[in-house]
Amino acid sequence: MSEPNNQERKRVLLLYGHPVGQGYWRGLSEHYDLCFVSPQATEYAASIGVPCINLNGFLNGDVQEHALNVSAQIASQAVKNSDIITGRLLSQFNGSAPPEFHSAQDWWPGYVLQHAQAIALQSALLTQLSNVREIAGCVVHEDVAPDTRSLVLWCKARGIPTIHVPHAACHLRADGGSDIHRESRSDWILASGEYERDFYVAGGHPMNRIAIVGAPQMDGLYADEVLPAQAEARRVLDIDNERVICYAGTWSQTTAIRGTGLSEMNDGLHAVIDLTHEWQAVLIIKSHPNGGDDKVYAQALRDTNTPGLITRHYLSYAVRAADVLVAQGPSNICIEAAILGTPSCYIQSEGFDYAHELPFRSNAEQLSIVAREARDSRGDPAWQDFIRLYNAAHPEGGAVEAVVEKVIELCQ
Amino acid sequence: MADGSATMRSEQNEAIYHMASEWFVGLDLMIDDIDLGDAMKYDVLRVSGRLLGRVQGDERAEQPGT
Repeated sequence: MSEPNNQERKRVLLLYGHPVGQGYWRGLSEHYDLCFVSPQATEYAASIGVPCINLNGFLNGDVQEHALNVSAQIASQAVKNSDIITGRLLSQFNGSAPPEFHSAQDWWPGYVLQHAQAIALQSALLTQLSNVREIAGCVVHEDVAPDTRSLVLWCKARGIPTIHVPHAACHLRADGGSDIHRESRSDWILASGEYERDFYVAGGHPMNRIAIVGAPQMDGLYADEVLPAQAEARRVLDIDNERVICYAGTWSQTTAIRGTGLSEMNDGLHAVIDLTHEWQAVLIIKSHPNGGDDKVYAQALRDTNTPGLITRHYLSYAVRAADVLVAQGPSNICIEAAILGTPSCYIQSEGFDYAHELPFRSNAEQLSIVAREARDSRGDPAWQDFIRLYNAAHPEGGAVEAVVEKVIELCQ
Repeated sequence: MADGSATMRSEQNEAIYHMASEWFVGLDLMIDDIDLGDAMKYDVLRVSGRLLGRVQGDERAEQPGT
């Protein structure tokens, strides 16, 4: 990491720093001095040899004092507003509000203070940085969470270009109801493909502020020379069986409630286990990297005497080994599997679906039918159309280079 | 539910979203040109969704992520 006061000629590019975007860090670092807002990203980037500025290096007594004073003033206003907030919360739910909503004064000021402290400190550090260095722009992988959205809002208030490179496609249907994932606050969106462009246009983002670049997080799937063939994947995973099913477990999305939640997940898991026995297959459970405890999967396999294994990593091995992928909901792993040549189907979830006729889909009860259709579709050219809709860089890859090129153009 | 018909949970989801979009209006909680209400909206949705799920007896109030 370079020292904060080190005067260098390059302009500074702000990034939040989620690892999903690390593919384009190195390319961008050739044109800018990178500054990550996430402290973990700063450490990680330095460990892989990507030079960056340490934002926390700007922390001093004045910055700390300013952030504390601002957050204290905000909390003071929150105390005064507690009764108003209680009234607003209760009025939205017609008597079905949880108990906590009846007494906002017991938690509201502290809740606001917690967020205010984090955002005020981030803002004060960015201001210190901007006092000594020219900031060229800002790139985020999403702009809905408090730290990323406040970063984007801070930049926009100062006329600094903001660019959103979505880390994944959101598969909410148009009739799926209101959802924060339809929103973007950034000036520009670098979309993975036509689907993502249309998704954000439908959410109100101007079409002329969206450029299609492909999905940089999927570039690694095009390095076929280092990816295992099916036989190699099965050998490494110690699977000696004619039929293999890969089940992509899900994660708990915490910003919305739809469908039937836990019972939906349990129904899906048991439908896949039934399918495994019907096909006399081996089941690979590829749990989600952000998912919870995998013990529920292990217990289910034991309880049903199902041959299988569970892994949170090694996606290319888990998917390539399988005849078919079954996903819990329209997961983005279906796109990754299609790039790797493995057909898929998914168990539907309320409000969500892919916008293409593929992958095959059904409720848990009908899984056996669509899984067979998916298995038989291996090699169907329609899968290529499906991939291109979600990743315009297909079939070559190279979205990382497109992102770097576009960022340079937009941050001139 | 694949046909788009709404469950009680998705109807409450709409209420949460509108609440999170409007509850800061007029409170003037600004930090250095950052609208704190807008910045907190995602977390408000997360917390509210979990609280409402608990009212219904579902400890894992969330939906499967996609």
